[in-house]
Amino acid sequence: MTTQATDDKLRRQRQQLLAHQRTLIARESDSMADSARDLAGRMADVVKLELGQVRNVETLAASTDKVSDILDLLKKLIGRDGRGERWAQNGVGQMLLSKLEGLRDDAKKIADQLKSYPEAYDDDLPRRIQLQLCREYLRHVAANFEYLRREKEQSYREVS
Amino acid sequence: MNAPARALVLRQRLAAWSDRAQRDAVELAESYRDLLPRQITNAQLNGLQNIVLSAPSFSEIKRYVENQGNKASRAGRDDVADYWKAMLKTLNNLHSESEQLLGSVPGGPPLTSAEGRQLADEWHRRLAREFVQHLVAHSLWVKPGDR
Repeated sequence: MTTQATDDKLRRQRQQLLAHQRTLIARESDSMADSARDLAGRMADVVKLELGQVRNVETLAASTDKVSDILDLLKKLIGRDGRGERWAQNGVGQMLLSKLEGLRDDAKKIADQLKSYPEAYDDDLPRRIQLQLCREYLRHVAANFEYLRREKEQSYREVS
Repeated sequence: MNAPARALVLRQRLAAWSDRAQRDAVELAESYRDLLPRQITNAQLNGLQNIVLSAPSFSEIKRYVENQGNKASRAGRDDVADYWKAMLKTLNNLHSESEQLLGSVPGGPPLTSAEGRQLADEWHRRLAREFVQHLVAHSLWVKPGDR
């Protein structure tokens, strides 16, 4: 096979892998929505936890290329909340941290399904998929948090 | 491989390395968890993080860690001195990892040249920065007894 033909084949496999990966991640993202809504509900009960703080985690996840950056940020936020008024209250930060760490297993399952594209598959793929799943999960959490927080504020205003 | 492509591949390799290194950083922090946060204070950890972020060469990071270890020894705190010794050993070992990482991507200067040695030192600091970030985050998060 000529170099040109090999390059074309590799390019085709990469495109197929990416398309399949997108589908699998979209499916996984939809299946995570309920869990994210539940967690966002608990977070919305933490009075001093502000939307900006939740958005900061979401923004970092969207811009970093490392899962560990997201986990480190959460650990710092929990660790620095000595009074337990924000991320450490009711274990909400810990729940989010555990969930994101646990996405490693889901990412591996997705990556296993992509091994059928051997020339485009690489050993770093499970890690990159975990990063994408973290972004998806945090997107759900932030959106639900914003909605639920506004709902709570509105009902508080109506009562008072 | 041209320079922008090499920089991109190195960035991807660094990200993968950093995510793997988080486990080692957590392990190191966990093995000294009893010293947190009283013997190894948050101020010391933040100091270490500031040094790795700002040091112009790895030798400056080394000096800070050695100094912390010496202070602990003089105060008779062998357990704390052990912590800083273990830290220094781990950070020193990152030198060979930085060389491996650079060597794995073709197109860079030879690591034996002056330019190559400077680049290796820069990457040594980058790896140290990643490692210390993980270690400090985990150390701030753990509290003895409750997790």
